[in-house]
Amino acid sequence: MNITFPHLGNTYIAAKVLFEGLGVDYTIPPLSSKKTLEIGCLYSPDDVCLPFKIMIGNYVESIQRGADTVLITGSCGPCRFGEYCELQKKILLSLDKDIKFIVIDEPAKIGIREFLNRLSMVAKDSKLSKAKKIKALSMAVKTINLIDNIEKECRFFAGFEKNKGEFARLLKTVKLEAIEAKGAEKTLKVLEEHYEKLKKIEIDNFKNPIKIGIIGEIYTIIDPLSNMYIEDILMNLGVSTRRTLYPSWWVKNTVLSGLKINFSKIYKESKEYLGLCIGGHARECIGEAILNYKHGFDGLIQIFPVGCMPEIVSKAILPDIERRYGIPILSLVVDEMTGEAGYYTRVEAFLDLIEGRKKLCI
Amino acid sequence: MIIGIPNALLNIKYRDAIQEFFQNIGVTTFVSPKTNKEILDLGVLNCVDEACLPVKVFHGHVEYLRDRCDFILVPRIMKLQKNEFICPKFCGLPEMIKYSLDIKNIIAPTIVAYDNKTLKKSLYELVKPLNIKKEKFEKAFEAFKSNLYKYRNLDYKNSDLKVLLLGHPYLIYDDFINMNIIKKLKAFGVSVYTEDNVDFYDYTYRLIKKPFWTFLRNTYNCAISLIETGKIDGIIYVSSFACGIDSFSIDLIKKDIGSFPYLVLKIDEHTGEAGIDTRLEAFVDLLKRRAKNEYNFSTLG
Amino acid sequence: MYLGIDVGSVSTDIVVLDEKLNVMHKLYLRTKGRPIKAVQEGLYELSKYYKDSDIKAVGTTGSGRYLTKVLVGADIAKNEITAHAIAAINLDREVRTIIEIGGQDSKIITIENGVVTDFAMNTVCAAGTGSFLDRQAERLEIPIEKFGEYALKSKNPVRIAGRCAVFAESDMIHKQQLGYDVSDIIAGLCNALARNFISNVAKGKDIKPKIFFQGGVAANIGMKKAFEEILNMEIYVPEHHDVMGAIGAAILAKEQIEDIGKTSFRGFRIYDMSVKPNTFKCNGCSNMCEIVELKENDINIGYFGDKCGRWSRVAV
Repeated sequence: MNITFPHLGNTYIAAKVLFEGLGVDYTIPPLSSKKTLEIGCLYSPDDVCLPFKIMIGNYVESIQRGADTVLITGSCGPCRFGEYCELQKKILLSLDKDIKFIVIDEPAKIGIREFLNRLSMVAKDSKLSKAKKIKALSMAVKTINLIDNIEKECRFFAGFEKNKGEFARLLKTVKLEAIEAKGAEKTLKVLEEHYEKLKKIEIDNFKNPIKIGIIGEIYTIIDPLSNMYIEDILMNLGVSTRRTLYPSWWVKNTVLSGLKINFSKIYKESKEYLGLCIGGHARECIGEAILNYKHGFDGLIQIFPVGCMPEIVSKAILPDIERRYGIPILSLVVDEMTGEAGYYTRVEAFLDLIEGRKKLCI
Repeated sequence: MIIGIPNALLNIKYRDAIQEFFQNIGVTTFVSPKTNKEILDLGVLNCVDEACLPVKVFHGHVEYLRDRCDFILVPRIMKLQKNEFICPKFCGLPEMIKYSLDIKNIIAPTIVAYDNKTLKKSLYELVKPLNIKKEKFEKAFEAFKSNLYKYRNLDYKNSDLKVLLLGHPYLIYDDFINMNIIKKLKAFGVSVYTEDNVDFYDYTYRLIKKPFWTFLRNTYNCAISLIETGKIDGIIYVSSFACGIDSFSIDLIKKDIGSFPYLVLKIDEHTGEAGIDTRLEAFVDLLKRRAKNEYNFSTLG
Repeated sequence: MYLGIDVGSVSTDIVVLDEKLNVMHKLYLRTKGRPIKAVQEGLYELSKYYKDSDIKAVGTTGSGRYLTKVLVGADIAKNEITAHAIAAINLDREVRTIIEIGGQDSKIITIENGVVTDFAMNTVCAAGTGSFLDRQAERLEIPIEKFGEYALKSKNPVRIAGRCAVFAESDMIHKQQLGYDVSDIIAGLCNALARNFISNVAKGKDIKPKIFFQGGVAANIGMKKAFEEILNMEIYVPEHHDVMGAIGAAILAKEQIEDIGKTSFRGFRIYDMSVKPNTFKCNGCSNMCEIVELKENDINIGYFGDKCGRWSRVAV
């Protein structure tokens, strides 16, 4: 068994730690590129959402490198993500690739027992003891928390740095070195070292950069290919960005909702607008919009793939938040046909708009 | 007090039941007319661009009713089957309406109705503020239930050529947005089956995961059942652009039925009628030629 | 004097502003897919009237802004939304709404107290933009300059379905074949485009007077009238409506130079240089950006196209 998985932000680093810790064969798909998207679009239905297409691209590129099993997370609706595995398996089958799927659904829906059962399928080939398997899992969780934290802080403090580009460089090197490190322990060590370095980067507290919250559909705001590297671009322009939906957030949220603990402030804030879960992360989008405002952010960028059902609902609600709290919101809808020129023009004009408002306030 | 009922989405299918229910509890209702150009334009103008046509049309109906009644019924239909959903946009429909149209006087009951008990509860919550006597409610509820399946009796002429018309009910029953497709098929001498006038069986065991959308489960089961039992000659799937559920069901069915005749018609506000007509005619021709060939084969054999 | 260059998909506009921001010179050139050549032509024309030392700052805008910035050594490259807004605000502090229809895209900008509060661009299709109108004019064999005149003559505009370029065109052909009057068809087309703009691009935006109508299409009085009828408000078309982006870029350059001091303008001589772009993939990270390198007589003059600033920050 050789396991692969679709890309989602930094999960590939955690996955490497997990599989190396377990001693299981695995293949990391090449980082999503335009080619990945091309492959995905070729085999996917036209109308399906962008994440689906990129994932198909990831699988195909991994299968070419020897993978035979796909590990993905699932959900039980009502958003399309929960049905991905069904159609994806059929698509791969029609390409003569009989791939096994291990779908990790939310424990809240399938029950803890089935959840653990599916997890153990991942470690089937591992010869380690149960305790060691659990240790590998806990190291993977630690990894994702650490790398996501590093990224989060880099993205936010980039607006405050004294020497331009330091955070961006650190973020780039930590990922490269982590993936090249041999073994789970060494990888974690690389992350820890960089986290220390990060704390030493000089920041200028008197700076007043534009602060932007990134909200919207979880995959497209995490995956740089689908959002056209928006965070890198904002970072380069000296903008501080904040995004709550990271893979580590998802892990925490999923586990806690399995234990029926509703921990997040997000849901409290979104309650007035959207009291129920309507699938995807529409509630998180609304809650985050309000939370970012309360944290003194200057503007919000909502990103979602064309046809995303839950985010269409949040897009209808956001103008009311914009009016009520007086925080500018830019909605960007992305798919494989999104043109770069118009996209960046909108982002730049949005930053100018915020700068104009900031000047007015002083 | 007049309650406005937008003649769109699932309200089309359950319109008579809803109307009679309110009548029985002593509330006057006003149903918006069948979708027309004015209503469509109102919807397209006011709804989020990215939404699908039926949701836009629903916005148009609410806008039409805005000044014509005291309250407008915008149900939040969550579940009609246990552990299944309708669609995220249905769950968030009242929010979309409220913020896109800036409208306050909507009644948005949450409908979780997968059995008698839950359906009753949903409806009871709806009329609770009116202080209706229990007896009266019971009677109205019974009448409501008996009216629910009215569309099962949709008549169809028996002809040799049988086509299964798939698609969400609000596309199948809205003649304006589907451009009179049922009438057109009948004119071609085709007898039209829909999910509502045939019986079908459960084939979801063929899937690796039990679908969590009621629409997907029904369409899939209906298509596979009718093909397996040899009842139909072809399938026409009417779908709206940007429909998230259909983007899966269309392909799930396609991957399971091989070369069985299968026509997918995608509809949105830009769709030209001429293009639809051409495709329908060509598809019916194809079915007829196929039937003839098969007949020839059997006489030879 | 300040130089503003707007390199769009269809036209390249260049303006020269004096110290008081009056338009001294304006050029309107066809880009024809060769932005470098268009800019060079424009600079050649201007070199007849100005010396290098006359130019105190240069700003670029439009989809070719980064390329042009490197090419001419501009002090600032700004997006066209901001440029259009700055030009309009500078002309009239009272402006609250800008409707801008250019060659390939259309936008709406709302302004309050001289600050942009909201904007939107067409997302779906090019119906209603300049190129589309040009093509229809060509098909009807009427010069585009006369389009407005024809529209005003109409007493009974026909209704044309204009939500999408392809269908608008087929609907128009259909109406033509039914024998409708040309001026009624043109007026109908203008109405359809204006209606579309309001229900698409301007959806959910607060349209308040005073309204400016800018961009090449603003020359079409038929479009102006159609907007006025739909909005029931007066529409102003500024004198230099066709080069407002370039004017905005020049103003932004003036502001920028007040901060940084000296312009990096490379001089008018570049009209005579052979400048060639060369594209390559950066392998610095997984983004694999396509970097464009500009070479003048085989000497590197700058890079653009990267997302992280690794190349574009390189001072050459």
